[in-house]
Amino acid sequence: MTAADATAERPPKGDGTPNGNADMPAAPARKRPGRDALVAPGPADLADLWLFHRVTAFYEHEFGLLDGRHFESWLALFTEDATYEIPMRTTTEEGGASEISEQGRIVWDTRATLEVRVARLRSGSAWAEQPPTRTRHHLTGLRITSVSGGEVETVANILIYWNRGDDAGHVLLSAERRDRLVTDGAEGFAIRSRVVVLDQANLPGPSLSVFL
Amino acid sequence: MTSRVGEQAAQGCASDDVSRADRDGGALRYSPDRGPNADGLTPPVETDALLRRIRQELDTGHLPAEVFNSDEIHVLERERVFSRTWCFLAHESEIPEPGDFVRRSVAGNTVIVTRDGSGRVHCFLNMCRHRGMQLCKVDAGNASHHRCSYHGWTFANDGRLVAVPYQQVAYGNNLRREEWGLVEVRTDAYEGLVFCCLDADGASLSDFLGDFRFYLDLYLKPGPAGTEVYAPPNRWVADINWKFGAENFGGDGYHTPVAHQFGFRLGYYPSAAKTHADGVSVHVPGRGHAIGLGRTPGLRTFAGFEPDAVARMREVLTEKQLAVLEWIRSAPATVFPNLSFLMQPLSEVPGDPGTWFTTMRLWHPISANRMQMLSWCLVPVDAPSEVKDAAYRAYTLAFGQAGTFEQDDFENWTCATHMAGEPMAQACTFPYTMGMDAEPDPSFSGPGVGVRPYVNDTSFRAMWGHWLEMMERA
Repeated sequence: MTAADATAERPPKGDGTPNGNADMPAAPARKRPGRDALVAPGPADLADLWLFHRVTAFYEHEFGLLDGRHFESWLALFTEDATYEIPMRTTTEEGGASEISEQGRIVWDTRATLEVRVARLRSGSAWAEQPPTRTRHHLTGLRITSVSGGEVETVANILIYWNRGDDAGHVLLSAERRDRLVTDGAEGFAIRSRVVVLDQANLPGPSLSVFL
Repeated sequence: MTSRVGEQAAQGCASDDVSRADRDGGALRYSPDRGPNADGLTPPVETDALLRRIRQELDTGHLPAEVFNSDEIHVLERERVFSRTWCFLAHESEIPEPGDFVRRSVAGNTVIVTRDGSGRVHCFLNMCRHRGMQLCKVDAGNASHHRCSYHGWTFANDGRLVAVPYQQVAYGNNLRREEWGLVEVRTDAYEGLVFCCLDADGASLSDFLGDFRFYLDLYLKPGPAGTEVYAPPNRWVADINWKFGAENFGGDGYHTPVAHQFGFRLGYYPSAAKTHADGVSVHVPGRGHAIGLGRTPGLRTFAGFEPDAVARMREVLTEKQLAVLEWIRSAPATVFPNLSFLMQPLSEVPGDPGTWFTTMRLWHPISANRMQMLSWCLVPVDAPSEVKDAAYRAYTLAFGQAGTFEQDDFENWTCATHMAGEPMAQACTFPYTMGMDAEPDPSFSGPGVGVRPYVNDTSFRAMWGHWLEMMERA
């Protein structure tokens, strides 16, 4: 990964926002009611649409980095105090939120441990990724659930296709991804926290060796 | 009367990889009386010849590759090993309250492990006695009763059939409820570990564990209150023969510098390739249990443990146990056949002394080339919560589906399992000849047989020797 690559893949900066603010639309800080509150439907001002567009572009940029295995540039999208978690799901009678374990996690990472994982992938001996898994990340149903104090909270559905070697099959993982973005990152946004909730309790193997 | 299980039951069968595969596996059921499979779809089962070949090879320190991917072996293991020995079910802390239950699998059978109203732990076949409906379709929960969603037979969590709809009208005097309780499997526990044995006449759990309890205590007695699971088990399936995992955790010091090369390279692990072979490989003869005790020369005693943690261990472990524990760098172990443990430190930042964590794992066979992995993190009950959290963080970085060490192993074992199913490979044997001439180390003070160096096959020969003895017993 070179600096030139990163520049080439960088989404447009926020210079052209309606109010000329490079980092934040002019919309007043406001807390939206719930996770399912949408920016797009209903009355929306230009700043809402512009924010929605910028967040979308940020994620498209992120997926380009991930699927292109530009992991160092991907890491740079996270704040220094970032957290990245994949909670554990178990099948319960009640379903829904009761399925998400309070304590159990598949990944409980910080920026520092994400760096460990990336350094490992570059070590030449991360056998599960040699040859590398081919991934394609897809995102739909993006909702901006909160805009407040320089932070944007998003919820999105993600679908990750993966295939490896000459396997004629593939793995599809579906998840809900909840992010807290800050608006002062180098790419216009930076990820302060991410929670990826998988739609599956018993996962396919051999390993979860890719980033979600 | 509550029936939280039954209420949801009409939503169709849960899709569970294990139960599905186990059903598929059921078609292979071995029958010594029937000879070759009557359906003609599978080749004749030449079990005796296969076992004779394995015996011949193992006597000279070799193991045929097909042991690691053979339908005949899988079916025979189910009947002669897993259905006759003590199998791990759950940790008591997974079901702390009356009514708590978890669903597990043993030897191809789905079972409910539950605590009844009086606090006693039971293991029941997950089947209504009336028409065989699955009673429980979730991973865990709490229920005083389990009501079948087919015709409504209702069982108390101590196994009694307590309600039969229309009993008087429909059955009259032709059904005695006390004869139709849940099918129960005998259980016993050691230091929080609940095991079951499908063989009613088998030896006791204490006899089964034998001297290995000395080593189990190193994982299970980190303080006066013992251990608890930090969370439910990580659970996933992989195209791996369970024996690769069981053997490896019996103390495969040999694989670490290569399979987990990244850890050495990046400095996450207090060992160096040059000195990695140092340590002791220990097994308990006649039981199949084994532990590897890796040592790093120059490492101070109890390296990486907080003083408080050492003080808690000193309260419960014997001097002899502490003498073994104090110098270890890492300790993987397998309780035959398929329950493993590992304790080791892992540093978040390279070069740090690291945080000690303990993982407990079950390599549950689904078929000859597929297993389900259940992986827990055990923490000392009386450790502060931040210590437990730190241990779990270290655990998830190393183990579980996304664990870095786990990824290395699962990649290697998947590829090895695949190869072991290929025809030319099946004719090959593997050398288990490391340490063939080794004498027990007289300076090692723990029970069982301890040989040096840590890089050794001695424990594996003992493990597979015990396995073969069980397999040969018709």
